[in-house]
Amino acid sequence: MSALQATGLTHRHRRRGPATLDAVDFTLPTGSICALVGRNGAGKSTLLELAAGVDRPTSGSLTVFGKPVGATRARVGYLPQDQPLEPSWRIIDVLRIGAQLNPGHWDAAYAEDIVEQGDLDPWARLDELSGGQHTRVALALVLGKRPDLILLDEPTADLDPLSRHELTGTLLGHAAEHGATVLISSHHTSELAAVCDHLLLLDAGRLRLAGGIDDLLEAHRHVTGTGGADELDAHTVVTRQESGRGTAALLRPAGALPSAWDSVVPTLDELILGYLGSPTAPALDLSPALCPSPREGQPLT
Amino acid sequence: MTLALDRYKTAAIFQRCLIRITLRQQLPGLITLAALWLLPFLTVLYWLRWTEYPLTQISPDAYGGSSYSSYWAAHWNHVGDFDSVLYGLVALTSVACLLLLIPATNLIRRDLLVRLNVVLWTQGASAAQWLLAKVAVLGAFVVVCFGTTGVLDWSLLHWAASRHLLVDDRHNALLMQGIGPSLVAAALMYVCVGALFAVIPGDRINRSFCRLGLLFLLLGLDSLAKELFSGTGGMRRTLITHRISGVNRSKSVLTGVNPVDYWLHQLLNCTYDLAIAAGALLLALHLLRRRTVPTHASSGQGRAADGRALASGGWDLRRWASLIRPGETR
Repeated sequence: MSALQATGLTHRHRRRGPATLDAVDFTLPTGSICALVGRNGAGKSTLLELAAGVDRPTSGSLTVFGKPVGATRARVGYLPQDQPLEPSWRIIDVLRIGAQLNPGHWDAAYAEDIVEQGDLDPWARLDELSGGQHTRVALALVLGKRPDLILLDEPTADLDPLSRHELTGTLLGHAAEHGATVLISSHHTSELAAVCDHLLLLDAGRLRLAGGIDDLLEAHRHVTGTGGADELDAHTVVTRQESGRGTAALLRPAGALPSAWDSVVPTLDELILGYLGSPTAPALDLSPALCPSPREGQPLT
Repeated sequence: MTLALDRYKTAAIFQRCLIRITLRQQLPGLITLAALWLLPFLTVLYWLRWTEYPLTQISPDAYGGSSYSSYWAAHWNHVGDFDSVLYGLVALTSVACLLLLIPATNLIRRDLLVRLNVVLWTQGASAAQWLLAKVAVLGAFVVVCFGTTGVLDWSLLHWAASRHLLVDDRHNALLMQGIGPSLVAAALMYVCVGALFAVIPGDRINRSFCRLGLLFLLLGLDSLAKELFSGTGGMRRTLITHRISGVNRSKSVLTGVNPVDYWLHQLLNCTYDLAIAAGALLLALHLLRRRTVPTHASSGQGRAADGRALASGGWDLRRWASLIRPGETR
């Protein structure tokens, strides 16, 4: 069963305004850890809010574990980018609120563990905490309800590397122990590569890449050579850079590459930067349920 | 690690936790409001107790009821003062009712601005429960404050009327509105309208115009309705007066309140105010529903589909009730 499935998902903030999400289709398998990447304003936060049920699509549908979003709210944990909590609350208040608002499925010991791992005083006020400590408390509130789908909107944006590492460990521990699905939006693409197994790349409200990271990387090649650029015309070129010493390109091979070209599998960073730097490159959807074989060169709309 | 499970509770319309959260959030604001209410309240009581003449001395009873002429000549200014204080208190209470729009709007708008609602809505509380908790907290505060003010006004009116201290040259409707349960109903109406103002969508300019338009519509309707309730038939006789011959300028003096007309007047006003309050609250819930994913099965299919579903489903109360309950639990 898919944890999250979008079909023609469209969202506009105003009725006649531009689409923040434009006919997005994807499927996120249960148990996957998915990176949601894109430029600022690409629609990442909007997609997460739609999945969390705090906003609703203009058209199209979004299902969580096969049910409408509103019907599965208890199974979804959402950490917004700004982590809005009342500054005058104490940490213990936040944990109590979590317990009281999630009767029957609140793991108090686990939430307290997350807080204790950060050496935080439960009686400390939230406005006395650093950014990283605040994030830890907000994450305890999200994970304490033991959600099956965790939506995190740039949770590590204001954290130092060590805190990022610790929080990522906590998150992965929960996902592994509980079999939860994680959709995490972040700009730290190099760190995502080590953690995530799926990728959703949004650009200007449209889905540019979707699927397993290994599959996506395998479907691309980073080539360098001194041959003419026209030798690559048979392949789907995502981005191309020409210099005096030759040509470098990120492409989706359609058959064998010319032997004069050096070809390597790109890194996740290169793949993401290649697509973000080339808005006209055709999208690729390798989502398992929607499309078992690559739909090369076809827009996802 | 043990999984600490809380006792399962069925979904309730009012979540006590949300009430506590709201109380904790708004405690400084509520204390300020209480102080603002207490100040004029205590001032009036102080004035009544420690004015230059104790009120019992300036009532006609102190003269044995023998000579109204000499009573009015001696104490006209004090009677006028008392008259003004009571009417002033009632007028002030009515203005305070209208001003309730500001805290009611801000109470809810603040959460939407800082997005605290997002945390609560994804923690097992539905948007409707969140809104109702906010309204309930302010509503309870309003019932206590305006209820006691109404009782004070009512007691003063009856005490003064029994001693011929009030000169009936004011509008009856205002006085009648300020001395009974209809005062509380009016205050609750403004709280609910404030909640509606808070969830009106759109940018700041459109929202302001919408609020102004709604406010003028509300005031116009209010004035029309109150005139209808008090301006026709015998309702004007609700305050019983009689003219006292021989008194300076032959004033009409308030001598009592007709109990039958009084309760009819209160019933009509309360019904009108509570109907407007309920309408505003339902509209606010509907606007919240339009911006969030509801919990019933037709959700998740987009606004257009939900609009069609609501149109076909009509105003079924069960559908509205389903908006309030949170989503399915595991």
